[in-house]
Amino acid sequence: MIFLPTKQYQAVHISFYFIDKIETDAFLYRFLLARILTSYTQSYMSKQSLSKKLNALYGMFITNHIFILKDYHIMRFNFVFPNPNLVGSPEIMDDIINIIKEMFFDRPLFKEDIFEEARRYTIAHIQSKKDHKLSYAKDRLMHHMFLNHPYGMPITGSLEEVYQVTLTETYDYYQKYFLNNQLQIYVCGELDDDLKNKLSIFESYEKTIKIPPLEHYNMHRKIQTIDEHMNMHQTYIFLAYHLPVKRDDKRYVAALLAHTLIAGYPESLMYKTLRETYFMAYDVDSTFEYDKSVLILYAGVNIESASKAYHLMIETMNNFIFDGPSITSLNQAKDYLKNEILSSLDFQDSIIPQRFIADLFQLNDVPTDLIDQINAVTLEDMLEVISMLKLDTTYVLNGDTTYEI
Amino acid sequence: MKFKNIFDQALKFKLPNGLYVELIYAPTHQTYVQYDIPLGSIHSRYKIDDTIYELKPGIAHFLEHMMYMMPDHDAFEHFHQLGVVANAMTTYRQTTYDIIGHQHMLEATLYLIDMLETPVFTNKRVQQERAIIQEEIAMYDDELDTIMQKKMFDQLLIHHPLKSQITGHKKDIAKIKKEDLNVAYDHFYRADNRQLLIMGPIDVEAFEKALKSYAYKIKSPTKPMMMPHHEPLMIKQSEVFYHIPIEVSVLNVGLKLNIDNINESHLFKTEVTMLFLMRLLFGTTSNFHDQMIQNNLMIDGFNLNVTLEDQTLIFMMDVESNDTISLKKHVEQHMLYGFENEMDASTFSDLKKAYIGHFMMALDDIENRLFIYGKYRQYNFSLFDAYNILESITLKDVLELKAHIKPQLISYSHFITKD
Repeated sequence: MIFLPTKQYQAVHISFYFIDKIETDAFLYRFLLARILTSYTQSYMSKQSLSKKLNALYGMFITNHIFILKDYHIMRFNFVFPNPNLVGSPEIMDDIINIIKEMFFDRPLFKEDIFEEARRYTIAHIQSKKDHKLSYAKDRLMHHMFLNHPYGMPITGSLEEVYQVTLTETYDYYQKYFLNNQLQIYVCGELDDDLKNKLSIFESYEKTIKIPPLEHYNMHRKIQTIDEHMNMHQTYIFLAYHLPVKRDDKRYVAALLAHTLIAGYPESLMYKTLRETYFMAYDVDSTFEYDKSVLILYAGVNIESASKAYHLMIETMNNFIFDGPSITSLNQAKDYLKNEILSSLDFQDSIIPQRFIADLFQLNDVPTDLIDQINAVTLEDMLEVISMLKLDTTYVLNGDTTYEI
Repeated sequence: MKFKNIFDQALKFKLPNGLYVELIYAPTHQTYVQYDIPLGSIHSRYKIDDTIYELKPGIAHFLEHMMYMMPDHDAFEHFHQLGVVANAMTTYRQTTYDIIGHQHMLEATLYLIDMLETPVFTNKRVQQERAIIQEEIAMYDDELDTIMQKKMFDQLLIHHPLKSQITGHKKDIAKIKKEDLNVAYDHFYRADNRQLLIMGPIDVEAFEKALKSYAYKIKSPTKPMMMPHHEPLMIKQSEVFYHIPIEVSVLNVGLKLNIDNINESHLFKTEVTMLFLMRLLFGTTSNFHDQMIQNNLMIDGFNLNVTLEDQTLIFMMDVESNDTISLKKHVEQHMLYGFENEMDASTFSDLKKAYIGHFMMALDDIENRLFIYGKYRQYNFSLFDAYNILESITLKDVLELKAHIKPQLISYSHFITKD
């Protein structure tokens, strides 16, 4: 268990990370489990009674985040509550510990009604994906890029699987696999020795397992160009580039700077081109997913200008790959990235995830070391990284000029 | 209950040109600068001396976009050259300009002031920026939450400016001209109640000296007086079915109340009391929530939201459902007659504890803390006052507010899949 002491915050965060290898057959079970486990406990046997108890604990809330990262399927459960000493009720820690314990460990067979509710929720979640257009478009892009590789599969499992899944097999998965996951626990907040001692009860649950690397996905292929349509007021354009720079690669920070320079901030190339020069977009963005070796560029553009925007994006990227950045623009991007890192240090929500990633990839650097690494990046480093960018997939979700609601 | 309060030691002063300043030392990694202009999207009529002016919908947000244009350069570019991050947002009641960074903060702050005192509105730039805002509106118009909110405002409101959304509608912003922007700028960007809040590991004395000796272009403040809206106590439509291309149907429930009191503390208390009431009736601790989930009439819990602007309170709650018609009947019944089953003292007391906890935890986000602090200051109360108001709410207050809910003030939207 890792304690991350802070003095400036009024809340305590406790995160449980359950980590396993990536298996698409298990996606649905894990999605259901996240919902079932946080719905009730042995002491609070319904959602209603658990909700009442969480209110009484000064509004403690529980979030879960299910994601895949490199070779790992990760379920993060985060418990957030006001520091018991600040609210003058240190005794609530015992209740909190009991809830967490009952939530994850030694659970009897799940209740039928809770299981059914989780199943209905999952069905609606899958069905309503199209109602959230941008996130749907991102899912489609990942699907087209990675096809049947786990990176291209929905984290929820498929609709067909949800219709068929049973309570018994879900519980079976919980017992045989989930409880044998790697478990890492983090606590962030201002804790005295008494609170720390109470929490140390969870140390016995932590475990490390050997997780084999995921089969590599070969992205060396002809460029894919995919067009789809949807009833909406804009057109979304995505350009996905292959960029094989992993988190522990010495070129990682240069890759982050490349993403920043391309569309990661308001002075970026794409932002200046599409928004400030041609006035055809409002939302322009990019992400660098180092674990999947992709850099994704996105713009939500005016439907009538979509074709022009698409060609401008390709041309701007080609020129960038050919010319690289100027020293001035590189220095500005460095400043922006340093600001991002320092701002994250003022934000309690980011403290645990940063430490978790460092532990997962066995990185020795702390966030402030990244500042030195940013300062050290040269134009040559940038040119080396940028030359590695290879366009893999373009995905356009076209809107409809006649669409009105 | 203890609060970690960093605002006690703030250095506070008001400049002759009307700008109110607070310098707050805090041992953070970054310095946070926030400049608030008292112009938001709900402001549509105001008076200066004896002259009444109208504001076009969307103009506050339009100005926010335009202010980054300097005569010979883009202010964003300059902020980034200084190594700081700039941003802005428009809310119902104010426009906020932020800068965040760890270097050149004094220089950047003075530049922010210069930017906000340098309006550059040309026909060409207005036209270009309009195209960008049109895309911003299009982006929001594709979000289901925006669609539901717009439709409910249309059902509940007769002519309240909330109807126009913060950005304004596309047809609204098509009508905004540079002359409109100039007038709004002159009256509000010089207004007496604008404020500059700076928080971080700053040299307070150096900031004070620089801010007091700076050569401001704005020499004297204006005093625009907002004119209240008189929104009729009636709704436009009580139930509408929208057949739209969605995959899972949604029921949205809206309620409108007029609050006969202009005291901001009272309005804040009413807003929170309404949330208490609705959480007790429909939240995850309610019997109603439990029964509707058991009966498969709701997929997940309600999303609850209260807006109280200009004495008009709008409550909305939406939920995914496979049978919005049956669910609506239950909601209607429960909203009017179901409270006896839900209003027990212990559930209320726990709910209050939860709100106090959330209030404390929300202040851990530094940007949010500064924003809330500035917002309440504009309403003439402090974070402690807000906390005390929360503490003071009783079950009796909740029941009294409940008595104002009438069937003729409730509206329902059904968003039904086209198939």
